[in-house]
Order: sequence, then C-alpha cells, then structure tokens
Amino acid sequence: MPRRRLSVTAGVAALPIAALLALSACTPGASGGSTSQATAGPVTTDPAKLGTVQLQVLDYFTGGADDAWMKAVVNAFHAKYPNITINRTSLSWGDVMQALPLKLKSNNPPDIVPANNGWQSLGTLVQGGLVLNLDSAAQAYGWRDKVPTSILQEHEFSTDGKQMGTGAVFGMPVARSSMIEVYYNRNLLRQLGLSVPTTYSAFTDALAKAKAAQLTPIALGNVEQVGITEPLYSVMNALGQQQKISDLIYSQGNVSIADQATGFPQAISTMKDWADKGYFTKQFGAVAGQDAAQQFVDGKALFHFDYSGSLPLKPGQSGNFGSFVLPRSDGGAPVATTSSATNFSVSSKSKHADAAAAFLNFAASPDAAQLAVNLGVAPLLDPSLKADGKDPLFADDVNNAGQISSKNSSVPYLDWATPTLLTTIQTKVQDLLAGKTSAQDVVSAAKTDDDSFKAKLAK
Amino acid sequence: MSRLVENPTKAAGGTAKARVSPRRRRPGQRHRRPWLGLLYLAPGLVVYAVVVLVPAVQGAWLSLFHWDGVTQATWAGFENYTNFFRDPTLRQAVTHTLYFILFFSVLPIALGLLSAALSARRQVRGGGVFRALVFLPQMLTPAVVAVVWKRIYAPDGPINDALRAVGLGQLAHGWLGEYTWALPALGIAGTWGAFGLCTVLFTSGMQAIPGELYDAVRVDGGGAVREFFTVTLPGLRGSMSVVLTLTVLAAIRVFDIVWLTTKGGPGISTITPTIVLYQRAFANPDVGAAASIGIILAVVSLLATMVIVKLSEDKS
Repeated sequence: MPRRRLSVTAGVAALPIAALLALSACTPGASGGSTSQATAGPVTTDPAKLGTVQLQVLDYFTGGADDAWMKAVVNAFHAKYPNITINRTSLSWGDVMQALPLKLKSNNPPDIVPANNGWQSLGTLVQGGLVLNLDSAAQAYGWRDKVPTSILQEHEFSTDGKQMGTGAVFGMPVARSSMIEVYYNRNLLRQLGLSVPTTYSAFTDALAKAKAAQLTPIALGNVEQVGITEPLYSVMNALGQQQKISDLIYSQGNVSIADQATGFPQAISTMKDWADKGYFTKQFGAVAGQDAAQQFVDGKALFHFDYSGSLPLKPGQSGNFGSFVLPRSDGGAPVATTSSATNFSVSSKSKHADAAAAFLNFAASPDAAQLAVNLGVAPLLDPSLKADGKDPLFADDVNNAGQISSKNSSVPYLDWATPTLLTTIQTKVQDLLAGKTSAQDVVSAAKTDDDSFKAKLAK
Repeated sequence: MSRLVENPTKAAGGTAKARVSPRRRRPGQRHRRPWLGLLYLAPGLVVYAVVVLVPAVQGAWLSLFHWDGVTQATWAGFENYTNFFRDPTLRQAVTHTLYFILFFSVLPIALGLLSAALSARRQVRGGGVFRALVFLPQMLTPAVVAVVWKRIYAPDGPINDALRAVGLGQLAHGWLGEYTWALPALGIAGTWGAFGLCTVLFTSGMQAIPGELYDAVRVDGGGAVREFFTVTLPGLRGSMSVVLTLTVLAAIRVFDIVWLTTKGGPGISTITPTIVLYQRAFANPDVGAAASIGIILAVVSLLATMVIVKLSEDKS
C-alpha cells in the first residue's frame, strides 16, 4: 500500500508542474492593453442623437439613500433621453474592489464603473489602460469650468498613469458628497454655555470644557482601526496648508509627509494629546465605530467626526444635532477631506462612450444635486442649493458641502497617496495611542511608506 | 467482489486459481480497470480541476511575479517567498497562527474529549440538548459570530458588566483593544466555535467503541481514568485525526473573526497570514505577494494534514 500511495502523490505533484510549464508562456497582465488612448473623434453631446443605447452601469450603492438617489438619477436620465436605457448592477464595496480589474479586462465589461480614486484602484486602471481618457468629453461638456478644481483633480491622472491630480480626466464625480465633518450635540453645547466653534481654539476650548464637565468630548471607536482617521484628517486640514496637503497626496512638488506644512506631524501629536487628556470615548481602542456613533446619537458625547450622512439616526432624531467643518487654526476657509460619493469612469472597451459621458455629465449636474437634496443626502458641486430647513442637521450638511464647492476648499483622502499608507498609519497610530511608540515614529513610518512609493512611481 | 464483476470471463470460468491471483491476468485487461474508474470519476475530477487545481496552479504561477492585478507583471522569481520570511509583520502573523492552533485545536479537543467522556456512554439527562447547544456555533455564519463576540468583549459588554456586578470591576478590560488581551480573546471565541464540533465527533466515536472492551478493563480492576486511556483514547484514533485536521486547518485559515473585529489590531497584535494576504491582494494590490502567502499556507496545511494522517494511522 505505501508504494501505491507514493505513486499517487507523485502524480498529483507532477500535474501542477506540467500545468506550470504550459502556463509559463504567459505573463500576468500581458493582455492588459497599452497605456491610455483618448476618446476617438468629436463627442456627441446631445444624447437624443445617439440612437437606442443600452448602458451597463456598475455601482456600490446597494441600499438606503445611496440606492434611492442612484435610482432617481437613472430614472430622471431615462425620462429625459428615452433612447438610452441604463441597466444597473450594484455590488458591495468590497466585491467591487475585488472584481473590478477582472471585470474591466473581460470582453464585455460594464460601460460605467465606480473605480475608487487614488492609486489602489483608479490609478492602477489608468496605468493598465482599462479606463477611458475623458478629456474630449470634459471639453465638450465644459467639466473643467463646472466642477471645482479641487474636486475634479481627484479624478485626474497623467496619461502614462504616473501622476495623480493632474493631466487628463479619467473619471467624474457625481453630485453627492462624501466629506468628513464634525457633528455636534446642540443641547450639550448649550448646557456648556458654548456656541458652535468658529475658530480652532474655540473648538479645543470646547473639548476642555466638556471634559471638565465630565462629558465625553469626542465619541470615537477605533477597534476596527478606522475611527481615528476621521479626526486625524480633520485636524491635519485645520493645521496644515490646503495646497501642501493636496501636493502630498498627489505626490507633487516634493512635499514630505513629515513637513509641518502638511499638518500631519502636528495632527499625529494632537491625537496623542487628546487621547491622553481623555477627550475620546473611554477605552476607545476597544469600542466599535458603530457603537461610538450610537453613543453620540444617544446624547452621550459632545462631538463626533464622521462622513456626511452616516450617523445612525432614526427619523425625527436629527433635530438635536448639527455639523460643521473643523475651523482652521490660521482662520482661513475651513478645508474638508471631501470626495464625490463615487467616481464614475468609463471602460476603455465601452462601445457607447458618448452615451456614458452623457450619463456622467447628468449624474454631476445640478439636477442630480437637487435629487440628492430631495432625498436628504448630502449634495456636491452645486453651492447654490439650500435644504428646505425642516431638518437642521441636513441643512448644515448642505451648507458645508456648498461652502467646500464655492471656496474650492477640499482635499483628497490622505490614504490615496500610496496604496499602503492607510494600513501603515492605522496600525502605527494604535501603537502610539497605546503608548507603545512615539509620534515621531508614526511620522517616520508614514514617511518611509510615502517615500518608497514615490521612488517606485518615478521608475 | 468487484474483481469478479469486472472480470466476467474468469468469473464465469470459475477456476479458483484465477480468483486468487488476479495479477496474472493478460496485459490487455490490466489497463481497462483504471480507465473505467477514471471515466466514472471524470465529472467530479473535471469540476475539481477547474475549481481547485487550475486556480491553484495559477496562484503558484502568480506568486513568481510582482503584479498589481492590472498592468504588465514583472518576473520576481522567488522574491515574494524570500520576502515572506523577511517580513516582520508576517513573522508576527505566523506566531499568532501557532497561538491560534492552541485555541482553535488543542483546547477544543481537550474540552471535547472531556465532555464526550462524561456524556457519551451513559444516559445523561439533557445530553442531546447539550450537544445541540455546543454544536450551534458550527451552524452560525462567521460574520454573525464576529459581531456577537465584538459585542461580548465591548467595554460595556456582558463580560465587563458581569465582572462589575460581582465586584471585580478592576478586572474589566477593553478586551479587543488591548495588546495583551486581544489575541487570547479572539482565541477563546475560536475555542467556543470548535468545541461543539469536537464534542459531537468524539461522542459518536466513543459510541462506536464496543462495550466489551470497557468490561475487560473493569474485570482487570481499572477505573474510569484507566478506561479512558486504555480504551477510549486509542479507540478514537479515527475521530481524532478528523478533528485535528479540521481544527488545525481552521487555525491556519483564521480570517473572518479577526477581519470583522480588530482587522489585525491593535497595532498588528492579532494579525494573521490570511489578513496580510487579503490586504496585499485587494487593498495594496500586490497580487504576487498575496499569492505567495496563499501558496505557503496551502503547503503548510498539506504538510500538517499529512503529518496528522501519518500519526493517526493504525499501526497494528
């Protein structure tokens, strides 16, 4: 018997080797295509003239207000241009990120895809030539005039895919924002005898006063490593310079993450300082993000940093809350980490590039922003919009988004700077807040990460 | 019996000699058997090849490249593998796997043996209900299990509440947020998950052991402990190899509960090779490095299985 088993084992071992030899002719990614080509010919900007078109759209708006808004936009577009039918496929964020390169390489990819900004997704797809250069559409529709530069930049890459935040448009924002704001509890603020902070020092004073009054100043849960990034980015925006932060994230102008001008070193020290002073939820390192948000909604904390529209509010609960963008220490216009709720890019294999561009244009239009406001989700790109005022929290959200659009004061997410930076920062900051490493070490670990990625880009 | 059916001429001939020494059949007939068998197996083999073998080989091939999943890959040779052994994060992840083997395999087996020994051979009131209850974790979705444990370990969760209620408030911890406690806390969740499986498999194993063997021990004047070590444990060899294989592989593959609770934190104090694999494959697209981790895990799993099977083979 042992002899026989041996021969079976040998057979099993031989099989992969044989297959390996057969495979060795092909290199992964070889069929990925050349670097990006421009859209061919002039763009037809009147969708009615495009004939009958079926557009396949992939998105990650699987439920709730996200899905409702997307449905409303699709319906409005189809009502306006009945010749264009849109078939949506919605997958969870994780599923989209896992499957997107494969989908785009298939023979029949979706026409419009939600490639995430930054190097993890969109940048790599640009390098692989899988998404379309939309410059001619941008010109035909006037996107560069209509969309604030600091937002449109988030969708730009050089055509060789080596630079981000400059060059050609490879995707479009939609008229819905995803920005990091500070939420506050109106009653608690009043109890403390304070008004909404309009300066950075007024904000830190409020933290100290809340702590002295034995309130939790900031509801924070960091067990999943995510929660800390929201106050971290906000403080960075308050202490650094907008231009330097953008340059850092876009790997332009030789800005180092260790430079004070980016606000990053000070923001890291501030997190440590706030944690030491007990400004965050007790034992925040063991608290789930959702539990912290719930703690805030339950009225047990004064402030909470989070994305617009992501508080777990029940209908009618929002009256006691408001939101603002953390004021800057130098008194300038508040800067918020903001992007559109999704980036939409067009597959380079799409046979309906013009129709796809028409839909992108519509999803970024004031009409689409109005649909967002109607549905109670934060709009983007149209600063003139106002909420009807019945919901004071939503009115604040709309104002904040409008302010960012009109002042052109958004910065991209820091984690777009390198594919690994988010993991590096999250793990190191946990070490810092647990007293296992110094703020200096966190900054130098982030710098090593950023520098090695830039060196790779330059190759 | 199958020999007779597959060899009808000889069976019909009915000579005792032909039946005793089938090796002397003519060469032409010798080949028919394996091919026929393969034919029966073909549907299964094809599915297995397409779903398991081909992707496995592709994975091995990918692990020899530096590849972001989109653009042209560059040949890496064995660099991804040498990096595996140099990477301090992965080194820590591997020690966590060893730690998890203790919690996902050794502890549940010990507990499972104990509870099976106590309940398998006599009518214990509520024994069936007990087994159904401890087996319950096996039927729950890992995502649900993770959410429940996250709640249990929360600073204001049931464990800390209970500690405070009995005046042991100073022992309350932010379990998943502390470097000392996060790993054992997740380990205990794993023990809870595997305990029921072990109990049920050992119980059925014990019930298959003939009662006379126990009687023999009794006659020799042995007690319950000697019964356990001379009859029960050797009799469970088969179940033990199944349970060991299942639980050790589960320990090597731990992903869901870590990813859905701590994401490998705080710091990297609960990180596992599978977490690093996921991060490399989907977050910082470095598909080659991810594939090399997968291949190493697969090889280690295969070796572990072979060792377990070898050790549990009946030598008599």
